Amino acid sequence: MTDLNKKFIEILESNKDLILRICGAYAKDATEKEDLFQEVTIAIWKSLDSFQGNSAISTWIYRITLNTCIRLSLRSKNTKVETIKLNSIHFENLQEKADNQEDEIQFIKLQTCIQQLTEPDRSIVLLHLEELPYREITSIIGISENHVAVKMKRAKMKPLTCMNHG
Amino acid sequence: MDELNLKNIWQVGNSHKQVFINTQQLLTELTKDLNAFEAKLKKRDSLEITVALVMIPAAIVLAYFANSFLQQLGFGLIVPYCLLVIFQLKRVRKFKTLINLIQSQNDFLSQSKDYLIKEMNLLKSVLYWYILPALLSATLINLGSDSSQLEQIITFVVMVIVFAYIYYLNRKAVKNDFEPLIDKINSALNN
Repeated sequence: MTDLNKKFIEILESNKDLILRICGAYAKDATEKEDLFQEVTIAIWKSLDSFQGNSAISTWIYRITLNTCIRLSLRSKNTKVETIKLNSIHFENLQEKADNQEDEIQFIKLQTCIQQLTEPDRSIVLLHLEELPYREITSIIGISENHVAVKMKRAKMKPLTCMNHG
Repeated sequence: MDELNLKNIWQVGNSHKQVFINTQQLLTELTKDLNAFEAKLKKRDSLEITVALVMIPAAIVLAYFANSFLQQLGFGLIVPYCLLVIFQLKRVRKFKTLINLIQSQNDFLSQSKDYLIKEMNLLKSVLYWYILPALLSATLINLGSDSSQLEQIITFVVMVIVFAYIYYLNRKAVKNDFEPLIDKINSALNN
């Protein structure tokens, strides 16, 4: 295995959970979520050469994941995604965890609340929930820190209101 | 419920679903299958350009053997017409390859918008760079043919209907696909 391949696998393995979480905020159902995950995997693979190490790896991953999800959500209804199926990636629902139904219900509800947001509020809320510092959110979204702060104040209330009253 | 609860729900919620990756198989799929698939897509995308390239020598040969000046002129016009089509398609498509996913969201959206506007303008102007030159060439070839006047009229009417339909499809794509997408990106950028 080449160094680049090793690096790719390492990046993917250590970030797969966060990628799946973000994809869930853009997908209509479980199948679309898995398709998005595959698309992000391909996007990471294709962008690997361009990773210079100038930014943190997490910033790079979040950028690729969000931009890929947005790109696919922006396509017109009639446009099908042309891609290959990666049979090497499997998704499994864990039985022992599934016993805690309440967590799962709350998570799905939160995902639905986030899906109702428009961009860039959706991305800002997602990055806030991921507990990223303002500086990193600024770098991912591409707007000033003050602007992020103003938007964050407004945006983060929406899923909270949705969860409490929605 | 407060913000802390939300973060907690978000971060543990995904634990019900686990991703398993067969790394060796994944690398094979990404190096072999993906490359083959993308080569196929590239070939399909360049089909229109390939057809236009093939039409240039064919039009020259046909112009040489044409039986009237009008037909010669019609076939001769296909050459600059094909060059125009190649130029227009290449000009817009080169922007698609420039869009990269590692830039900030704002830059990514701006670049995607620029590309969509270029593609939309290409469709909007299809009448001038695709339909009218093609109709002009086809009409000259038709007028210069040995067919009867009635056959020429029928051929012309059929051509007009076909080109009108192409024009309609392009306008429909602009209205139904491109304009809503550009509006969506604009609202994300201005929000």
